[in-house]
Amino acid sequence: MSMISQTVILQAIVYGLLNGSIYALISIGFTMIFGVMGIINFAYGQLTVVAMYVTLFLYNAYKIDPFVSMVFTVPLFFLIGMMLYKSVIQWMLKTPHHIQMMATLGMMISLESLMLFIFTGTPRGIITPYTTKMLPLWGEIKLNFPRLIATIVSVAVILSLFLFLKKTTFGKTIGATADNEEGAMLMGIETHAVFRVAFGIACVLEAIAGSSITAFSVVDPYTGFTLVTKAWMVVVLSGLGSIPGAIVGGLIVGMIEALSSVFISASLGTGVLFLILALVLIFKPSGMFGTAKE
Amino acid sequence: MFHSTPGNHSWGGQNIKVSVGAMMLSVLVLVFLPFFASSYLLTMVITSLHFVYLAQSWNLLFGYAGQLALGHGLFYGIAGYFSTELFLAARVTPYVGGFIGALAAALFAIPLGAILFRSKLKGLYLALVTFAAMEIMKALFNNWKYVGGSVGIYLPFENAPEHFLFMSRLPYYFIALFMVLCMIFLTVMIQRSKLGHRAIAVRENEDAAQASGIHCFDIKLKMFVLSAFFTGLAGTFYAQFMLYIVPEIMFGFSNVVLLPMLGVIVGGRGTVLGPIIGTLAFSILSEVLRRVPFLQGPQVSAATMMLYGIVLTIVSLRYYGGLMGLMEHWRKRHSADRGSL
Repeated sequence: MSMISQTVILQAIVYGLLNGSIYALISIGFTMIFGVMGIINFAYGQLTVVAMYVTLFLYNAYKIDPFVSMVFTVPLFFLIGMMLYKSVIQWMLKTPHHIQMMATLGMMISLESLMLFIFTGTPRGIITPYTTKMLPLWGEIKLNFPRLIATIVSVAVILSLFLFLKKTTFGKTIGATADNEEGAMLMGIETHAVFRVAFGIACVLEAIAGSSITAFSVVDPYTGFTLVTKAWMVVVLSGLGSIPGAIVGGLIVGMIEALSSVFISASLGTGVLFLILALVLIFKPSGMFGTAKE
Repeated sequence: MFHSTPGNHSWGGQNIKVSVGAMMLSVLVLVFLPFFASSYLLTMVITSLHFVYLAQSWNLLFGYAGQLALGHGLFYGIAGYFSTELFLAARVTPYVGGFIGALAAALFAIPLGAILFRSKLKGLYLALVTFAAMEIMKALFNNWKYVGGSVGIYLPFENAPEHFLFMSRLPYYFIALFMVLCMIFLTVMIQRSKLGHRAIAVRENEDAAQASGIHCFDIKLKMFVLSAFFTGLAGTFYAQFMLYIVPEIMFGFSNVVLLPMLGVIVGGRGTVLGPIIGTLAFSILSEVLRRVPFLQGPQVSAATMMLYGIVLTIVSLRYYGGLMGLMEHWRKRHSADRGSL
């Protein structure tokens, strides 16, 4: 313990929280789709990667800042989400989860290979004027500027999603359909339309996460699998289907990851996260907040 | 757990006679093939046979007992590392070491399976926990300096037939073929045994199986351990064939789990022929794509995986019986048409 200074630990905690908020953003789309239509989607991480490549392309071709490029990626991914729902997801609605898993694993592999086909496996990134900018937070502890912006964006998006779901009519419609699909149908709600839009919204969350990550990190086609395993850790820890849970879970996963890379090693840290995942699934499959059961 | 559509009851011990006939023919072709094949083709065939073998051993658990495990790299890696370390440190010949390694993998599978099936994990949750177990083991081996950590271990590049090391591809080919044939024989035996019938009962309806006196926990654990043992043998073969092992590959999802899983699901789970057809179809597809003129090296594998992914999505959503299920469906419809005439 004495070997590692307090500053390093505090710095790790700060980084853990910043990364955790992005994990939360990625996991919220995942958990929301489970909560609303009971679908497990392994292709989410890969959708984030597609968004990252789109952002990369926009920066390289037109010098559009990654955070500004959300203006393009958000509508694009809303459309992609609705198209995916129409072409694939709607056929999964009533199938067992492990079949959904295999089907979406197939989607993940195709998207990953498509990215590999177009962009090859080389990690790519962009360098904006502010990529390496550090802001002093307190004493020796510093904040990486693009990560800070990404965190602010995540928090803003999560808050507006909450307001949307709780305050607007359409948000309430989504909640009602999630609660009781047949009841909603009897009330004249077009459940397929609701699902389609909800899936589009989930994809928009992935797009925002993808564009934000591009501002401070490199991307390769295999990032998607890493992201989706992180999302799994978050939602398993917090309980499938719980949005507030995903926020807490995201922060916890970010913290564990950052602290274990300080105290043990980054690769063992991943092992620790997987150990927690396995133990939670064995002993408390419903997670901290969830009510989902297989 | 699984949906069964009318006219799709292709799961049992059907078509055995046809299978045996087709098998005899393929064996004849396979025995004489290497004498005419180029070294490149031979390597490709060995790799395909290796995946057929892995698919068959994965099929034992998923196809027959209906338990979806995504962590078979665990057993592949444990056995591969065990036999390699035994060989390098104690000069135990890998012919024996392979079995010791596979036994170690099976011994590891007993407590793991006991925990998994005692806590009644199934479907998605079982898949996630087995996957996590594999990742934990990968992290441990990556940090274990004695076995080379993330750098891996090299095996000697020499001709030592008594140590399962050959300069020629031919012996590897015949060993791989022999392993596949043994696995097919074993699968047929298990399919016809009491254990196989009970496993199918557990797969189809666990509550009903339990109610009719089948000890589901026992059956699932037995199939899990058998599957682990046979996967372990493949780990040793891979180490001796590639002469290099590293945790990223030995405990890797895409190397050990994904391709066999695709083969089983596309070919038809719970059948003897399905995993063979499914896996070989993929090898042929990748060879065909290699011939496409405008594709270059890495793009070929990317294009192949892209098609695999699409096929996996379509098959798991629409044709869950796989190619074997489709064939059975057509055969039934054909005979029904004739019956009505």
